[in-house]
Amino acid sequence: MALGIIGCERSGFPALCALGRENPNIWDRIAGVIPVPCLGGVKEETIFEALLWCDTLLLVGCPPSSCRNTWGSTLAEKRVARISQLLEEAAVPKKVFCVFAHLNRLGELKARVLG
Amino acid sequence: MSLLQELLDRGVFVVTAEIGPPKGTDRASFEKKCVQVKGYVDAVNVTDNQTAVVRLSSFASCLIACEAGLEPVMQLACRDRNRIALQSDFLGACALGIPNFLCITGDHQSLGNHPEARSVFDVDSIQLLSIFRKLRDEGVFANGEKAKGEIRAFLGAGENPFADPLEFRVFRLAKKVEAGAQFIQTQAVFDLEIFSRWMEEVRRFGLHKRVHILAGVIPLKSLQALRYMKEEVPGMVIPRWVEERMERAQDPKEEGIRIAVEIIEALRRVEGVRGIHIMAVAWESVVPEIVQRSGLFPRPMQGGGEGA
Amino acid sequence: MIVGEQKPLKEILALLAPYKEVLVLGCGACVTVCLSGGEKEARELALLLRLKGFAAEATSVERQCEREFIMPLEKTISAFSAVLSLACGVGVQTLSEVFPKIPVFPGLNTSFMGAPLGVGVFEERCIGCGECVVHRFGNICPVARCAKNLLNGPCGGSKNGQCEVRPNRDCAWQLIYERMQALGRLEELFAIQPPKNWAPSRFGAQRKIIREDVRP
Repeated sequence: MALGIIGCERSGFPALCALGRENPNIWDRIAGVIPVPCLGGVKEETIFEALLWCDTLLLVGCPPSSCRNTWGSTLAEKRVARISQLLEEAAVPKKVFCVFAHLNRLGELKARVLG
Repeated sequence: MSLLQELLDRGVFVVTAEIGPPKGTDRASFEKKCVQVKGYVDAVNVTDNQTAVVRLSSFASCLIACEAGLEPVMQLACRDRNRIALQSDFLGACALGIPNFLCITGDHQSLGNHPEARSVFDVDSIQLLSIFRKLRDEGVFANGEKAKGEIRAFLGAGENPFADPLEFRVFRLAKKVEAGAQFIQTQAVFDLEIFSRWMEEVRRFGLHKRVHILAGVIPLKSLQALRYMKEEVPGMVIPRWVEERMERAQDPKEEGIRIAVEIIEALRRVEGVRGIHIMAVAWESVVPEIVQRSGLFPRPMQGGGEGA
Repeated sequence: MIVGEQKPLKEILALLAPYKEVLVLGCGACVTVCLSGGEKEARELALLLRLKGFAAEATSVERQCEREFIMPLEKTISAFSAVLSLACGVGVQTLSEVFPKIPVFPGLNTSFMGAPLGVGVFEERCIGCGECVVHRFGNICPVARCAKNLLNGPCGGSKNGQCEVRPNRDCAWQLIYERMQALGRLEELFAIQPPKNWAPSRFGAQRKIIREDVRP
């Protein structure tokens, strides 16, 4: 199962790097990483495009309470929910998740990547 | 000639009741309802696919009621027929001796059992009243063309004093009277306060002298029936005291009858109310008891008084 | 504007099942504004179709209802075995009139003529009855906004300003009453509105307007 990651440069991407230092073997599972300034700017189209080369896509960003753009992570959650529903309706066997992480909060990301 | 009209013109406090046609061709069940109320009411309203649920037609059921010796009030809803069909059915009913008509817009089909049906609503109840009035009084169809033959018809309409905007209700009643309504049957009264306020307005505009107002009464069969009406039936206002009494009642049916009788007593004291219209939906058998206990029996045709 | 919404995905997939090369064609007019059939939606849908194994591409034109905007697509379209149009029903028909040989399918359900009331909220305002009477009702159209299109409303189902037919839908007649009262024109509502002439409406024949004055 190829894993794709779209990570925000402020917390998601650094968190992924930290997880990689702990478990270097995660890189074998990851087909590609797209760093973005904020998850709020990730359009549906970008998500669909990423799903063309991976089976599971993680949007990794700041917890909603600490998003620098206030609504970035919240918007991402709404988009992910809508796309998940479309994928299910179309019976496309691919998954998208929103994962909130930063350097001191790796648990959820670790579970998704290693799980 | 309409007996209902004659009684109202004579000043008799009239009693009408609603009987719903069957969901099928079960003529016997409808005849049974007729027998149950016969002698206790002056006329029966035969509903026209009420709540947008398909039933035996109002027209056919009216004829059955006539055969059973009752005087029918044929309800005609604008939901299912355009001005051509409505005028045609009106002529047919007049030719076959149906004397009374109640013009209503009709419940919206999305609330009934064929929510996918296309509704008509070509004309509304007020426009229908004026079409029938012109046809009867001037002998012309809605398009101005001459109609042949004499028409006798006593025309009525419904009105809901409890729907919003409350302040506009009386003006809408005035429009109905203007359009040709000779009698009005109201939505069921439970909230006497709102009803009395509405009647005050009716009297202020002198409408009670131009139209016979029959107040609607629904006997409650159970607490569930009350809750259903409160929640599901649009335009129904049931005050808390009624609910409390039904909650506390040992014998809910008896309590329901008692409340209905009390409401009728109160309604008889309201100036301008000229009769009552009992809508005992699926409980037509209770009508005689309510009429008796309200002191409205025997009816004039049974040798009873003219009691106003 | 014309408001539409995308058909359920399952229905779209079933329509397109016999084809592989599919062009998803957006429309830059009304359906872009109502967020259902513009270029953005076309591109998203094409990508989703690619995830389902279609060789799907997306493009969009200014207005699909006009032949002039569609004709330049001739070359593009020849590379596809079917087109999924995200325009309203007018656009779908113009498209297949211009390219009668290629199968064209509607990707939207055309819903109504209405207005955007807020972000993502659209409400019906006009049914194109062909004989406007809106001025008599304080410019709130009962023909489009009352479930029973009552000209002498409100019916007995109006409660707390809401329509009995749909929850959380304003009763058009409550709005009319309030507007006319505010305008000091309430007495105009006391007049009996005669039956409406429905001949110019969709209940008459298909409507067509020919403007001889501007024709060559």
